[in-house]
Amino acid sequence: MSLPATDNFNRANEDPIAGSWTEMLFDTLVHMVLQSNGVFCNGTDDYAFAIWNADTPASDQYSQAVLHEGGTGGRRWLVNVRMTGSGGTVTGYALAQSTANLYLLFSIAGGVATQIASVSHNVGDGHTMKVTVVGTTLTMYDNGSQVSTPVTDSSYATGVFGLGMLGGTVASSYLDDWEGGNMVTVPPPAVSNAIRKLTGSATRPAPFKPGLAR
Amino acid sequence: MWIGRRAILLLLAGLTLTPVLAQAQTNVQFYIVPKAVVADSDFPGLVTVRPKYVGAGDLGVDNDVVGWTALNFGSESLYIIGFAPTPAQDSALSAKTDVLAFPSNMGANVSATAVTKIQGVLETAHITGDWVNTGLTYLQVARITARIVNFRNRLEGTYLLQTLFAAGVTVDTRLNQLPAGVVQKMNAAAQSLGLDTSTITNSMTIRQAFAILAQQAPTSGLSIAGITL
Repeated sequence: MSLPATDNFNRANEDPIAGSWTEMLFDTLVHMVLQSNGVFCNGTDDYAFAIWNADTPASDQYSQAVLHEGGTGGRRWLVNVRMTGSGGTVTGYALAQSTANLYLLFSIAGGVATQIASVSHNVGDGHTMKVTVVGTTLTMYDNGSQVSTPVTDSSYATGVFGLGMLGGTVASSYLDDWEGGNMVTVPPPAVSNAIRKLTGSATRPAPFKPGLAR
Repeated sequence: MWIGRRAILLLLAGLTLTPVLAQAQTNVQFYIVPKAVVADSDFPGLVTVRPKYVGAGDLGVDNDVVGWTALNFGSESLYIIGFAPTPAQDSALSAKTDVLAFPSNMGANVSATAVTKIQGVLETAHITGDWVNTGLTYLQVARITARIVNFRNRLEGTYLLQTLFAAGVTVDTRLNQLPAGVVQKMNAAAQSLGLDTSTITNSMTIRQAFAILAQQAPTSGLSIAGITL
């Protein structure tokens, strides 16, 4: 397939989710399930992740999905990047929207989820949540707007994208319309002849580096 | 003509400065805080770790820290957390004996008292702290610390898949006392971040290697809560 990869989940039910998806099992009893054209986790007390297996993305990548909110109880919707491994060896990054109205960014290592950012943000039914990773910089978005300053983490250099969830039922809380792709590297702007003439240099003036002059 | 060139260069410099100054105006402060393993009633199947004192009620009534980003020290039990605190939050956090609070003026030089505290915390966390002195600003200390943490996270998260400091290894262990495979992975991890390892030799200690790596900015940049390091 070609990137960006997309899945609107409009097909027959899958339990667990299959095809272009591979589960990253923390708990063999908890699965990502496709039902009624949406995906959710069938466990109420554990996470489930699934990664896209039909493409090999570049290390600089993104994952996004539309979350749908309903029902009661604690639930979290997740989109993931740079995920590898299975079960107790899973590593990668996860952006979670929680019913506590927080966006949480996690570094995942096996069964341990280490928070590296937390931002107050109301759950928005129908909102697109997105996480990008470029180099060692992770950025969180809601409906296309950045919700926090970028976060630096160098732990995981490569992996694939995916999604995940805690709990939910298709009638209330689920994920839909997922997309994953490579981040496009924008080349630095060419130095114009005007700048070259003014500075006598083929490069732009060095950027200000805070602190060095203090 | 010269005035025109200067004016345009100042304009270019101003355009570059604007976002940096905008960040500085957010009053972000840094704190080195321990990690806390939290019982998450929603997710009993997963161990959740977060900075200590950012949970509900941790700093008293109506004093919760909401909205923060952090540099995770990976296998070490520390974070540098950054956010714009209220005076009450800053006061409460600064009073904790296991928290190192950086001042709001990150351009200030590190005080003699703080040097000792910072050195102790960083040595315990295998980051090394002998380089901390009163000639450095707090921002420079944060930068050097973050660069070493950044290297260790890449090394341990992607290459070693465990801490470097297992089984009697200390920051004063020489590289030639480590298994060759570990040294190769240290080299690969550094290079993956765009760091030059050509001046590091096998007779150096890990401490010395960290010092060389910390002199270099990683190609992908480093920031905490919008403050570029």
